[in-house]
Amino acid sequence: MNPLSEDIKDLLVTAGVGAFAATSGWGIFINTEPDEPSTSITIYDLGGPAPEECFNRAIKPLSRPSVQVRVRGTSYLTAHAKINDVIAALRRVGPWTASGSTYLDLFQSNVTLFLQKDQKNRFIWVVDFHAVKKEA
Amino acid sequence: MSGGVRVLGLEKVLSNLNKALTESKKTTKKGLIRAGFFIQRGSQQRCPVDTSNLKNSAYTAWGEGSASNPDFRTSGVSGKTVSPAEVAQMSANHEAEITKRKAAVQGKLAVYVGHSAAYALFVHEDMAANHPNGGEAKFLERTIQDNQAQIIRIAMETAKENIAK
Repeated sequence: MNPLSEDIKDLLVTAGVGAFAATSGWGIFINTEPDEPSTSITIYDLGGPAPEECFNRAIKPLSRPSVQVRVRGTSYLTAHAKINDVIAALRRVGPWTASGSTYLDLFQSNVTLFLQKDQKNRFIWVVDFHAVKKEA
Repeated sequence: MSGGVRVLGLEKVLSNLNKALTESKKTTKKGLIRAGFFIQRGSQQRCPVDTSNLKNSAYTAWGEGSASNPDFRTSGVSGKTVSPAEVAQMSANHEAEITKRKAAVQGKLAVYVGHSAAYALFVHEDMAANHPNGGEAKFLERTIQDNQAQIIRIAMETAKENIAK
């Protein structure tokens, strides 16, 4: 079973939002934001509350992992448009199966936040999502 | 938010906590304040430290009072300096925010927990930042997320104390 970030990355690649580890265009990365390309989407695993267990041990627990998606672009509006593409591709996308686990749904946890301009004057927006996942 | 703890921007993390506190019908103001202190302390332990001003801007506020230690400084462990004027501004912002939060929960069974530093939200959300002096992003959110059961227990224990008296 993969961390949520990996499965989210696959959704974004399939939806055409970006390409995994691309060195030009919109590159999608996991847990480390590279300095290049300037247009990047980086997914961070955030953890989540303790899984919900049932008394019946045969039933797999439900977990609620979460991620932050961080979009960096060369203009304020371009980066904002891309984070809206991310939301459109991910919000309420479930149920789906990935790496043997069943995701019942995926929720946007907060509104998009303009975080900052970095040292190269690139614009960074962030948004969080949390999933409801039935472990494999 | 009645019968619960509210931190701006963390509604999803807090929804289960608020539900449990509201449904228990045993939540007291004293319990919520103690739970607020617990969250405030945890957040201070996890937040990144540079000048310590972010850590020292943490507060718990309720209708009738507040608790914080706004010891804002002009320099810190990293060697970074802040002007006296900026420190004065942080102190003024801190007082203004607490006054606003107290008014917002006046007469309600609710507390506010937060950090008054203007940059708190951006440090909280910046997952890519490097913190050489320790601490982490999502310091407040993770404190609540990792301690939901204990936060509820603290509120309930206070209710039990009141019954025993």
